[in-house]
Amino acid sequence: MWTLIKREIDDCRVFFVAGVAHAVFVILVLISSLSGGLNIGAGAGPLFLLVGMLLFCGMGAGQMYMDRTRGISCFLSTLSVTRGAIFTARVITGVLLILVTLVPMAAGGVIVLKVVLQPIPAYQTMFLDIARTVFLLSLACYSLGLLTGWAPGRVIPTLGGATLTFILMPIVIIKGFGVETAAILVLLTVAALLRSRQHFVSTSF
Amino acid sequence: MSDIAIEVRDLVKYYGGRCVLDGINLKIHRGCIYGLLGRNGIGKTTLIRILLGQEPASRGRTFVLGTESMQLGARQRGCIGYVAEGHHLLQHYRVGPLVQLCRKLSRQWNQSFFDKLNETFRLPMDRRVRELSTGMRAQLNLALAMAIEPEVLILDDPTLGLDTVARRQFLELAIDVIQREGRTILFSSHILSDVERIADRIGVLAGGKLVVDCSLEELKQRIRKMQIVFADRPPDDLPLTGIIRQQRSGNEMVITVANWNAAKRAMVDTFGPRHVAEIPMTLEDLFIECTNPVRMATGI
Repeated sequence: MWTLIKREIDDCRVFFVAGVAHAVFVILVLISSLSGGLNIGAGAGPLFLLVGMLLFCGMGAGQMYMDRTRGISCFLSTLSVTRGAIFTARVITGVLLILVTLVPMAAGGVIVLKVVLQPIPAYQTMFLDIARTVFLLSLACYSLGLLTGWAPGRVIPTLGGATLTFILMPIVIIKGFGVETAAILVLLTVAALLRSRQHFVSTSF
Repeated sequence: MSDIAIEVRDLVKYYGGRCVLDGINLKIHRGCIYGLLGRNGIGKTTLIRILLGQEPASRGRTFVLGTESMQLGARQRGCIGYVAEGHHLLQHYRVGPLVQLCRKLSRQWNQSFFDKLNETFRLPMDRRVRELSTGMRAQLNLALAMAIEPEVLILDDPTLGLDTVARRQFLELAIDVIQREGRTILFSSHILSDVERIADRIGVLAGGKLVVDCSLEELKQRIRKMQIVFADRPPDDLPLTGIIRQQRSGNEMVITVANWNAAKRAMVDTFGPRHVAEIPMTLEDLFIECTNPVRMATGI
């Protein structure tokens, strides 16, 4: 399994570099704005979030699209590997990307909470809610990317996931970071992953 | 352990409403080199892909090493070497890393055998797969498939794109592999002389059916091409069953007939031929006769 994960990371290193760059950029902007050096508007948060979500969705779609066009799983499954294992390795790689991007941001957030803001318990609860929702939203966008990336042609793999991400974002903005949003995102993620897996494992390639 | 390496039972496959494979039944025993022949688009690759579980059958069942194709797990897949038509390797990989990847993902890997093959093929380890010529890609694919020491080796037109020397090397290697105990090869090819050289059993797909499934010797016994010279004009019709093809030229008639026997010879003799002789047939001749549409009515 580790070999498969390593192979996926190798294929997607551009996404990992982009993820780390995005995290560093967001932390720098956050530090700069809190120290008074940069005045960011209220729209910056959702914008950063949207960029991140498009990145995760793009990674999912990219993995599947590359597979289809390069015949990756077609070749790997002639070795001692099942398509189910290839899919699992792919999802683990996607989760790794999400963690690589979000963990530094979360760490930055914790530091800001401890050092800059007043130690109010409500902030902590709010921070945990936001972190959970952003993680689940990332996972949902990644899963939608996987789902649309396996579709034939170029239009759906390229634009399908992005469109669904644009639709998904308002749910969070409207419903907030509560448990209801988390439940919706979990259901959506599970459905997208199951459908992608079933599609990936059973269709001819 | 079963003696049968590959089994196909009543296999039917439809593509967009068109029946590509129509009730195929096939058993390939362990240690057999089976040559699968058929014209382009007749379903050879489809049959192989169904065997490997890469495509579902519309009806029927297929088994490789006793396991149903769609249920092949990692362990069983590790016992099957596959060289695909067109050599679908990871084109963006360099040869060295691709070899390493295959080694890590294989159930077993015979490095010394791979090195031996590499010595023969002289594969450039630092070049990307997409930069290799078709012949080199075929050699790489073959080396990777053979290094895993497969119990079953499935070769889908593997010599396509190889020059004469590389093709000869490949055939010798295939024989080398089969000589290791218990290895089975399913070998589909358009180059009939290759099949004739290495296969000990032949299958011919035509019209969605496996019209021939026997040894080459048996096939040569079953289908005969006879030259019959008459004193005058040859008869309009010979009352023989199993005529696949008949041609007339002057007072000479050439017939290709299935299941030639003494009774058929006696029937020909009643027309008082001046001379009856058998024309030797190569596998290519047999293949052309077997895939001839008239064959359908003769029932070889």
